[in-house]
Amino acid sequence: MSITFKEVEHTYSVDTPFAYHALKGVNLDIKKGSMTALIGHTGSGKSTLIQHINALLLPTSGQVQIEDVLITATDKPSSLKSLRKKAGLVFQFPEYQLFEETILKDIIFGPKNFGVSEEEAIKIAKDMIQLVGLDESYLERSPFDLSGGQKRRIAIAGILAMNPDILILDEPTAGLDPQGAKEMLQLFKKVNQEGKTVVLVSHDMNQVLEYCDDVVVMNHGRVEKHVTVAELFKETEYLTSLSIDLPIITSFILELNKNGFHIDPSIKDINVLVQEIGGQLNE
Amino acid sequence: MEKIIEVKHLSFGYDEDILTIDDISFQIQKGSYTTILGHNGSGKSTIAKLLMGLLEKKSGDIIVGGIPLSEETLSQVRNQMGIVFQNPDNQFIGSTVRDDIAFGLENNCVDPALMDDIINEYAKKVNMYEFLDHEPTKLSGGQKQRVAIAGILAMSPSIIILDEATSMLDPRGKNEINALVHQLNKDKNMTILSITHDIEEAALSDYVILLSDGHVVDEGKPEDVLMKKDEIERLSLDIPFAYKVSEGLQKLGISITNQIDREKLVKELCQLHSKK
Amino acid sequence: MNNMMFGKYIPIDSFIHRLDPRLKIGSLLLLLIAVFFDAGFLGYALLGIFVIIMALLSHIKVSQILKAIKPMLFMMAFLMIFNLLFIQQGNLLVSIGFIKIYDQAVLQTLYIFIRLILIIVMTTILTATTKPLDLTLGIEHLLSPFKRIGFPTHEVAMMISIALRFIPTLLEETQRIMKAQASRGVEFSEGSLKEKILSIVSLIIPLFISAFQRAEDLANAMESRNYNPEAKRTRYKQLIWKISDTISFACVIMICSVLVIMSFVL
Repeated sequence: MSITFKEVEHTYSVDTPFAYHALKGVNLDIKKGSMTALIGHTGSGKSTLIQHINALLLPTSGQVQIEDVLITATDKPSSLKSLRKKAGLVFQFPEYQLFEETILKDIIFGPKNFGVSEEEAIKIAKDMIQLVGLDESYLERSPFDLSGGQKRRIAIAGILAMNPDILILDEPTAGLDPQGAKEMLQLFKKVNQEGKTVVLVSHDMNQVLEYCDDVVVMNHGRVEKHVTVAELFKETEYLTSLSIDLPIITSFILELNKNGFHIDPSIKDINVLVQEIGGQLNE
Repeated sequence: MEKIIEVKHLSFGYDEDILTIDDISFQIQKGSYTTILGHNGSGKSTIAKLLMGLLEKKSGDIIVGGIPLSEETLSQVRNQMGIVFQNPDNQFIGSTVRDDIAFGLENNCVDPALMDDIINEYAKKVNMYEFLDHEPTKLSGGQKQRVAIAGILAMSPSIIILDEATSMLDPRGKNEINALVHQLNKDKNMTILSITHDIEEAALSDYVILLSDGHVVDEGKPEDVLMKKDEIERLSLDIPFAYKVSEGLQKLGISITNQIDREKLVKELCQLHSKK
Repeated sequence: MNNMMFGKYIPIDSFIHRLDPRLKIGSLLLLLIAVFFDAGFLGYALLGIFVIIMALLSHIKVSQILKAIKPMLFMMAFLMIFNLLFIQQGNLLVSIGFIKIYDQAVLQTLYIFIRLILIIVMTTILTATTKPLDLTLGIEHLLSPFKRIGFPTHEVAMMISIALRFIPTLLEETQRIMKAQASRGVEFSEGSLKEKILSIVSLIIPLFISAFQRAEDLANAMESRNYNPEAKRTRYKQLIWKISDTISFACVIMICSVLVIMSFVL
C-alpha cells in the first residue's frame, strides 16, 4: 500500500469555542501506482485528508502511513520533511505559489530545498518544462508574464521536479477551458502510468470516470466508500442522495435504458457507446 | 424582436499595438439568453468589462437600451446592467449579506427607509433570506454568487452579465446559479449574457457568439454554430456530447437528425427503438 | 489564528451592544484620557468598578477578557521590569548587587500595570460589543466635521470597512500560501538567515500578487454597482441616538470629571 490511514481523527482548534471535527475515524488504503479520485462536497473533509498525506496536518489521533513513514499525533513536523518530497501536493489554483523572477528559478526552488544540487535541478527543470507542454525558451522568462493556464503548468512542473512518489492534486483543472483541462489530465495520467500514485480531488465526475481507477467518497468527515469507478457510478441512488451529478455519458445511458435500451452503464468511451446504440437499433 | 445591446466595430487593446478586441460587432436581443463562447484568452472577459464601461474602448460603439455608452452616460448605461464576476470572494463588498445587497442601493441614493423591504425581497428571491446576517467567510461560493445576483436584482436592471460566474463553483453551486439564472430569464424576461467556455451551457441558450483571438468567428442559433465540428475543435472547445453521439450514429448508417440537446436526442433514439 | 480574542466582535445581545457606536467610541476616548490622570488608588478603584460594571453589562465572559489580555502579557512584563529597575526614587526596598528596587518604583509600576489592564479591557469591550461596520460608521460620523476642511471622511471609512472585510480572507490566503510553500520544502521556522529571508519572500510575493488581483476585481465589482466615491450616497445603516445613549454618556462624563478633579485635589 502506498497510503494508509488508520482510525484517523482530526479536529481543528482543539479546546476552543471554534473547534471543528473535520475527520472522523478515517480508514483508508490507497494502492501504490493507482489513480484515485477523492470526491465529496465542499466541507466534507477532502482538503483536510490530503494535507495529512504530506504531513502539513498531523492527526489528532490515529495514524497515517505513507510508504515507509509513519505519522502519528506526536511526531514533530521537522522529522517529516522527507514526506513533503515523497508526496507532492498541488493546491487549488497553484499559480499563486509562483514567486521567483524566472520560471527556471521557480521550478528548481522545490528540488533545491530538498538538497538537490543546482546543476542537477536545472537538468530536471528542462525535462519538466517539456513534460508540462512548454519548451525550454520559457525558462528564462518571468512567470508573471504568462497566461493563467501556463502559470499553472509551471507551478505543477515545480512540484513534479521534486520527483515525488505520490502526486496529490486539489481541483487541478478549476477555471481552465476544456482543452486546457484535457491536456492537464492527460499529463497526470501519463505521470501515473510511469509509476506514480496519483490522488485527484475533483468535482467533475466526467473526469473521474475517464481518468481514474478508484474513487474515495467523503461525506461529513468520513470515508463513506472506496470502490472502483465503475462500481461507484452504479450506485445512482446513493450519488443522488449526496447530490453528486452522474457523468454525462452515464446519465445518458440510464435515460436510454429507461426507455427500452439495454446498454451497460459502465461504458466510458463515447465510441463504444455509439457502437452499442447502433447495434441495438440495427438488431 | 427588439435589440437591447448593440456593439458596432468595437476595438480595444491593453497595449498600444496589440488589439485584444479587434473590430467586433454583434447584437443581443431583449429577453434572450445569449452566450459568448471562447477559450481562455479569447478576449471574452474583456468584452464584459467594455460593456460595463470598466475599460475604455479604443474605437467603435456600445449602445445599451438605445443609449450610446460614453463618459456622460456611464451611470445610465450601468443602471441597465448588472454583472457577476468569476471570483465569489472578490465581489462581496459588505460585511454581511444584508450590507452587501444594500451597497448598490446606497450608491443609487435609495431612501434608507425603503432599503429593508428591497433587501428582504431580493434575498428571498435568491433563497438567501435566512442568511441575511451571515458574514461572507461563512458562505459557500454558490451562496456568495447568489448574494451578488440579489445585489444586482435590487438595482432592477434589465440585463445580467455572467462573466464565468460559475467556473469557480462546485457542481452544487453551479446548478444553483444556473437554475436561478434560467428562472430569471424565463419568468422576469431578464436578458442574460453569459460569458463561458461551457459548451453544454451554450447548447441550451438562445444565441451563441463564438469568439477567438478578439474576433467574432461565428454567431447564430446554437444548433447552427455548435455543429461546425472543425471550427469548434480549432477553437480548443469541446463538441456537445449529443452531437458526438448523433454524428457517430449517422456514420453507422442510422438515420437520425444531428442534435446538440441531449434530451431531444434521447427522445429521438427511443422513438427509433420502439418503432423497431 | 482563530484564538485571537483581541479586537474580535462577539455576536450576542446586551445593553452595551445596543448603545450607539458614536457614544462608545467617544466614551472610550474620554476614558483613555482619564486613565492617565493620576487620581491615586482611590481613583483607579472607582474606574475599575466602572469598567467591571460595563463588562458585566456587556455579557462578555471573563475568560474572553482574559484571552484578550494574554497576548499583551509579554509586552506588559517587559515594560514593568524596565520600570522597576530604572525608577530610582523614594526609599530603597531591595538591593541585590547592582539591582536596586525603590518603593516609588513599585508604586509606579503598579500604576502602569493597572492602566494597561484598564485600557485593554475597555478597548476589548468596545470591539467586542460593536460590529466592525458600526465602528466604521461611528468613526465616519465623528470625523464628519473635518469634511469641511477637505478631509476625505467617506473614503477613509470605506477603506476601513473594506480592510475589515478582507482581513479574514487574507489570513486564510496567507495560511494557504504557507502550506503551498511548505509542500515545496520551505520551513518557515527553521534554517539560516538567508533561508529564512527566502522563505518570507516566497510568502510575501504571492500574497501581494493575490491582494492586488483582489483589489482590481473588487474595484471592478464596486464600479459595476455604480459606486463613485465623489458622488452622494445614502447609507443603509442609520445611527439613532437614544435616551439610553444620553444617560450613558452623562455617566461617562461624570466619572471622567470626578477622576480629573481627584487628580488635582489629591
